[in-house]
Amino acid sequence: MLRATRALLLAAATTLLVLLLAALFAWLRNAG
Amino acid sequence: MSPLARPPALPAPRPRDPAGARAGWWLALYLAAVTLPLLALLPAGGQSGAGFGWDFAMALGYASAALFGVQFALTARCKPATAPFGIDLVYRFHRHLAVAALALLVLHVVLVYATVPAMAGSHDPRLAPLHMTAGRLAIVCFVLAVVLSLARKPLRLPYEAWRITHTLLATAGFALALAHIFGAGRYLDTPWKQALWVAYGGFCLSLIVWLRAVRPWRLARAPWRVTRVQAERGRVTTLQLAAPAGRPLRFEPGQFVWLSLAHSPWRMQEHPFSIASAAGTRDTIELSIKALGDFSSAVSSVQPGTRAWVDGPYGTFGIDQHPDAPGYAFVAGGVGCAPVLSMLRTLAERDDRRPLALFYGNRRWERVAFREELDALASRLDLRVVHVLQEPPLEWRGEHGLITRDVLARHLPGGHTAWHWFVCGPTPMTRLVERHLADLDVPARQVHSEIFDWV
Repeated sequence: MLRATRALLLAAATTLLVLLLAALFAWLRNAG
Repeated sequence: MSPLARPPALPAPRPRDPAGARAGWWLALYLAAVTLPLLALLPAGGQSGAGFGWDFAMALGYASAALFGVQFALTARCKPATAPFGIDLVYRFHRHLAVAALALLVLHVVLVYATVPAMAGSHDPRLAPLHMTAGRLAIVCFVLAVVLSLARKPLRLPYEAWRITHTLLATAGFALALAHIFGAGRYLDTPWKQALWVAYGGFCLSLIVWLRAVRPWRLARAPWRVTRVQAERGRVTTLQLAAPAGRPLRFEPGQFVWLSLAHSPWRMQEHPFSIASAAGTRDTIELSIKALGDFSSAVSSVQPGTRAWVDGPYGTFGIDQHPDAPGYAFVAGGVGCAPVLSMLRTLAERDDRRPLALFYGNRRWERVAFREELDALASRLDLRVVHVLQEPPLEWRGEHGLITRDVLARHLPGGHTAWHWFVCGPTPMTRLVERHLADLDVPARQVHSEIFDWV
């Protein structure tokens, strides 16, 4: 289903972005 | 007035603002809402000294809380925010994000135990700090909320009971998560950061108050009334509802409303149904409902005069989203014809001369709802109706079986690849038809459907 796929892709992209930001947060706090 | 009586032709709507741009803004706002609360904590005094794993665990905890918090916004039925996407897509997104937020929460716990297990403390609530017990209870609430939603149908949980439980679990889970965050106090070393999270938590919880208290209160002030109850073929009942005086419902053909009958809008007994009537008639609407569950089965025994509450309209499934199409084709299965009927009635009301086609799948001929009206609409519009029966009578000369690629190919209108296609019916049918249309070179952006099985 095209709309269901679109919702899934949007959710996957959002999750990935949040994960990356969390990793960036941890990295910045430990950098230097 | 009969839906086929000829009122003065109404103008078609003007092309709307590009939904893509509005969708982009709302998506950016969503991403800001889930990421800024975490990023605001970044300028904490000094380094944590506990290493990447620990800080990553904390970041995941905050990110998970932010995702769960914004879940309330996704189901707050904010029309400007949901309109560019379609509220069905927003609800499906809400469902996926709940699983994602839970996964991040689990990762948060695993990383805490993996990096600094002593920080997890005792599991015994009598010995553990209150905020740790709050965190553990929050996890229980979120796990239950997600699992009960994913398994509602297999567990055969009644919709109303599920909705009440879901609201309570989600609200309690988020409140407990906030208690955990403030109790643990990681990175919340300045008053402004604490204020930020208080405001954030307050905003998210106020959305639940909006959805479950303010909105029902506003609905309660303007009850609708059932004015006609009509039995159709195929266990379908059409309810005609009259709007409160002076408050007509402006809607686009193909949109749906949440309907609550007889009780009160405070009870969680509302269900989404497509509007079947023409968009030009705004003082009354018609909902054609098939007896499938407890609520829909009880609709046939509703009496005229019954009070009703209507929340809507919602949805982006409709011709007015694509007013410049050279033609429209509809593929409907069973009661999925209701929004199609609204579109066809509206096109007739507007004296639209564009070519139209309807592929209408049903099990048996005697169960084909609205078939006489479709014949009448076919004579008034440039409409070709193709009935497809799964169990045709012996003398049937039309199409039979499922709406396959061959069936579509046999009746394809000229220039069909430039038309906009609307598919509405059971999910397996919708999936198949979308695949067939791709095979027949109809671009995906011109194929529209709606997600029905939300929970």
